[in-house]
Amino acid sequence: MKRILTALTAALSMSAVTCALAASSVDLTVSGTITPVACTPIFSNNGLVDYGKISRQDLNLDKRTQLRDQFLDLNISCNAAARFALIMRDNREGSAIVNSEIYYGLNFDRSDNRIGLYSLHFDPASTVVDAWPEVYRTDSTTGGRAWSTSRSSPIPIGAQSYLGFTDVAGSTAGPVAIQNLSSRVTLVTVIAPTSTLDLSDDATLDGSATLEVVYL
Amino acid sequence: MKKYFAAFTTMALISAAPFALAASSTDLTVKGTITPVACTPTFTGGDVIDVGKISSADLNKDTNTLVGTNSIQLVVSCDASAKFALNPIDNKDGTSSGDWFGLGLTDDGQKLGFFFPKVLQVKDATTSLDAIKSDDGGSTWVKATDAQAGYLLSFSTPGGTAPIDAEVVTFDFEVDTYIARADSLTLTDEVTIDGSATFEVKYL
Repeated sequence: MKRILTALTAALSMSAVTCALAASSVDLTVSGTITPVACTPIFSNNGLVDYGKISRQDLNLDKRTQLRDQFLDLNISCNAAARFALIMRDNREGSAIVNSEIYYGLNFDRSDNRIGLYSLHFDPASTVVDAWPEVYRTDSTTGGRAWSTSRSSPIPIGAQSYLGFTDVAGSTAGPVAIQNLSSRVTLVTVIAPTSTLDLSDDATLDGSATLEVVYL
Repeated sequence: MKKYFAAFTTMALISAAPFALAASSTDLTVKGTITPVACTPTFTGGDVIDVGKISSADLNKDTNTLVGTNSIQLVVSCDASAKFALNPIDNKDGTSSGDWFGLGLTDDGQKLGFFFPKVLQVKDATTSLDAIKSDDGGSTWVKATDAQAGYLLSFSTPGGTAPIDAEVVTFDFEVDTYIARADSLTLTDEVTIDGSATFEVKYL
C-alpha cells in the first residue's frame, strides 16, 4: 500500500512540473475511469481449502502426487451489470513446482524445497450467470485487447491472463456484462515427490492467492 | 519494460477506485500438513464378510431382518506414536435402507439393506481405550458405539473424549447385517448382497 502511494505521488508531481517547462517538456498522461460499478467475489468456506494431515506414505516418493480434487463455490455479485474479467494473483509466487501462470505455490518446507502446486479450474458447465441459457468462457493474454474464441471447455485461471464469460458461443468479442455469477470451481493440488522434501518433521502446505475482478 | 507496464497498470487501477478494490477481490487459502508419520490399517482376519445364501421366505415382511453377526478386527499400526482416526467411507453410498453402510440395490433399484459395525472394544498395546466419534472433521468428539460414514472414529483414555497418541491400536467390531423389510423389495430373482466400506486413516 505504501509503495503504491509513493508511485502515485511521483506521477502527480510529474504532471505539475510539465506546466513549468515550456518547449523541453514531454507529457505524461495518467488515464483511467472511475466506475460506480462494484462487483464482490466471495468464495464458500471463506476461500479455505484444508487438506488436513497427509501421511508421507500416501504420497509418491519419486513422482508427484495429485491429491483429491476439492470444490469451492464462487459467487460474484455486482450492483449493476458490468463487463469484467477475473485474474488470480499468487501470494506465494515462485514456490510452485511448475513455473506457469496457472500454477500457484504451496510455499517452501523447512529446507526451502518447493512443496507443490495447485490450480483453480472454472467449468462453464458448472457456472450460472444471470438468466443465460449457456455460459462460455473466453480469455485474454493481452490485458483485454484481444479475446480467445469463446467455448464451453473448462479452463484454469491465471495470474496474468484475463478470464471472462459470455453467453455467445464462438465469439471473440470478449466478456458480456454480468450482474450475478456463481460457479463451482475445482481446486487441483499436486505435491512434489517426497524424495525432494525435508520430512524430518511436518511440512506445512501454505498456499495463498487473491482472486481479483478486473473491470473492462 | 514489462515490469514498467505492470507497475503502471497497478497505478491506473488504484486511481480508478480505491474503495472498490478492497471489495473486488477475495482470498483463497490452501492449507494442510505433510507428516512423516505413517499408519497402516489391516483387517487381521480377512476383509470379507459372507452372510451366505438367504431364502427370501426367511425375511421379515414388514421389519428389517438380521442375517449376519460377524466379528472383525482392524489393527492400525503406526511407525511412531500419533493421533489419528478412522474415516469410514460407504462405497455403496445412497443404497443404505438404514443409517449405516449400504448393501447395494436390487435390479428394481430398491435399497437392499445395510450393515452396522458395532464397536466392541478399542485398545492399544497395553490398555483399553474408549471409542469416540466426530461429525465435524475432528473439532469436537463424543463417545462412539459404532462406525458410521460421515463420522471420524478415534479413541481416548477411558472416560475421556479427546483423541490421544498411540502407536498400535486394535478395533474389535461386530458387524450386523440387515436386509430391508421384504415387502419393500422385488425378490423374484436372486439378489446379490454387495456392501463395501473403506476405512481410511485420517491423521489428526
